[in-house]
Amino acid sequence: MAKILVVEDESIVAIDIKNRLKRLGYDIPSIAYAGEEAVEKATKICPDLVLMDIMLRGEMDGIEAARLIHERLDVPIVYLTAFSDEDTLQRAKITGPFGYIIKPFEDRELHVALEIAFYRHKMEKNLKESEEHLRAARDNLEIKVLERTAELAAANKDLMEEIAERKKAEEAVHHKMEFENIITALSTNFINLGLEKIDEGINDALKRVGTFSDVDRCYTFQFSDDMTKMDNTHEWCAQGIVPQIDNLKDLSTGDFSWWMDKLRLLKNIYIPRVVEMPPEAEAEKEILQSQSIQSLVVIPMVCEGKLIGYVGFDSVRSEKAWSDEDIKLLKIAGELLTNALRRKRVESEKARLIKELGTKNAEMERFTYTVSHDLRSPLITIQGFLGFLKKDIRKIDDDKSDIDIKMIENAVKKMDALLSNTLELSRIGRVTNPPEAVSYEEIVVDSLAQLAENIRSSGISVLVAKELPQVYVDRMRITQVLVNLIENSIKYIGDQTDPRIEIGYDADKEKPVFYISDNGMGIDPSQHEKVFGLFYKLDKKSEGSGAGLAIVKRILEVHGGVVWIESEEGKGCKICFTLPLAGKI
Amino acid sequence: MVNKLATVLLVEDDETHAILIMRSFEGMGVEKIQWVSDGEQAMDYLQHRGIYADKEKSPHPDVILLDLHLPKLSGHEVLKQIKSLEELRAIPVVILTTSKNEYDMAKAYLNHANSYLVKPLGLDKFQEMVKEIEVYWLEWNQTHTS
Repeated sequence: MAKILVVEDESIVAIDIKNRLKRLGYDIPSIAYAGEEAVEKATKICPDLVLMDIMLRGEMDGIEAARLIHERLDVPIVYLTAFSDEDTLQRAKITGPFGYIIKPFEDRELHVALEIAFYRHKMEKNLKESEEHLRAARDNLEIKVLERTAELAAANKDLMEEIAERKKAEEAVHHKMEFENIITALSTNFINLGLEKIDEGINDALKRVGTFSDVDRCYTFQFSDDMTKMDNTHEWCAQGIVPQIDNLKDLSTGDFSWWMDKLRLLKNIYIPRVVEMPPEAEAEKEILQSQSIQSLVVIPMVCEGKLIGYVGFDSVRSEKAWSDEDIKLLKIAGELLTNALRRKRVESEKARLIKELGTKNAEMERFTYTVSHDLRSPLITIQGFLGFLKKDIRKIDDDKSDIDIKMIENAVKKMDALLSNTLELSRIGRVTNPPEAVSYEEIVVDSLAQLAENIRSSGISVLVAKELPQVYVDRMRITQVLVNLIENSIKYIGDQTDPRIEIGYDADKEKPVFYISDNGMGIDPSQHEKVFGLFYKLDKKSEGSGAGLAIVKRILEVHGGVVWIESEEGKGCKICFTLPLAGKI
Repeated sequence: MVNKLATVLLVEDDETHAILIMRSFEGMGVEKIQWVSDGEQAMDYLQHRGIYADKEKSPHPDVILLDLHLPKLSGHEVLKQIKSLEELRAIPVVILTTSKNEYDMAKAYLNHANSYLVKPLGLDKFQEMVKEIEVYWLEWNQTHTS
């Protein structure tokens, strides 16, 4: 049953209406007699309809009350009015009335007006609801569309990323393949290179690897065998980059301990920002910055487990970052260069050995030749004079027999001297005392002591230079060298009024030179080479077998030194030689 | 046939070998054996220099016996000089050495040595060889002299 709130200030009229409405089958829970009361009751009982008299006593008229109710509740309002002037109707219109009933009215009129109001309100409510429904559906759809769009965008983004990633991976594979092709080509090239072309090959490899990996400079350093020194041996620079190879020679590894510690552990050195190098790498930072290097990668070169050097890749014009993958590729390049350098070492060692073998062979041939010739010579004498001796004995010619015997004796002595010298010479290379660091001055003093008597009787004054270095030699052998040389000077001093021998040292030369000079007879330049030959004698009548200088030469050669003569006939003689030094004086 | 006035120039640095050779020549028709002990003296003699300036006392030899291993100027160098000088090149040069070395032989013949003999062991053989030298080079061999 529909609840109707009746608002009517005339109580009789109100009851009448109530009764009529009841008859029509409506529920009238309450009647309000004033505007304020109407608003209050409506709010309280929530009627299905408010039947509102426009003209109410009191401050609030029906229109105002209807407006307030309308604000609070969604309830249809039907006005009851005795007159219908334009103004009142206009005001009432604003409150959205559902109908007007003009007093006096029939039950039928009331019923129709109320039913219409109910119907209209229901319709409006339905409409509002479906509108809301529709709006909700539309809003929902819009959200759905937005959501779907966002989903699609995200999926699209993922897809793009995936494509980019795949492209990147493909590029990386391509990059790697290209690099491997370069490495393969280079290694094939190296196999076919002769010793003299290996350096060129290494420079070419640095160029190709450097260009490919987009660095500014790329180079190799090699350590000395004892690891105390390092040399920049090969270098490639991009256009406009200053080469450093000539500035980076003979560096002491001890100055770069941070660097060396890493390399000794066979670790790569990767410095993305030289400016951020740690304080303990101050020396390294300084030398890198002096070359304007901003970033670099260094790969150790390891040959049969031994660190032999490293390959470096510099970025000079800008900072550069290398990925693990990049560094892996550089490591492959490092291995290639290591192999090339190893090959160079092996090849040059081979070439050196072949050359040494050739020298030894030639020496051996010369030696055999000399020995066979010189040893035959006294044999001929012995055999010849034995023949004469037989004849002279038969003739009982004692004088001649004595001469024959003397000749034979001399030849035997000569042969003995030749054999012992030959033996000595052959032992120089085989039997060696371990080298020691010894002051050259001591060796000079020893030698002079051995020849003291000889020097004294010859009346020669011997001058020894003051500042003599430490040498690293087989002391006994070098003493023998000096004895032989001083002996020669004494032997060939000639008729000097003021005979002098000078023992000195010249440190100013490119390689320090030791010398023994005299103001004796001198040697004609045509003889300078020959005198070092085995059993060669300038003067056949002089004492000795002629092996002295051959022995000198051999001993110095075993020490890695050389010997030569600076002299002219009649102008004295200067024998010069080099020796390994024990260190700087 | 024997040239009684034959002169031999012996270039030999080993004194005992020189004595051996000279004694082996004893009793043969050789007027003079001139012995010098190095290459320079040999050239001095042949070119009449210094103490050999007198051409009468130091006549051109009929044969030169030349050792290869000599001080100052080697036998090879002496040979080369002799064979390059117009007035000397016709003189027969017999190399008399202890060296059996191929290189020495090749070099000697390349420099126009007339003969290459290796000193034998034993006096009998030595004397036999000297006799043969005397017979061949001083008796049979005819030299064209300018």
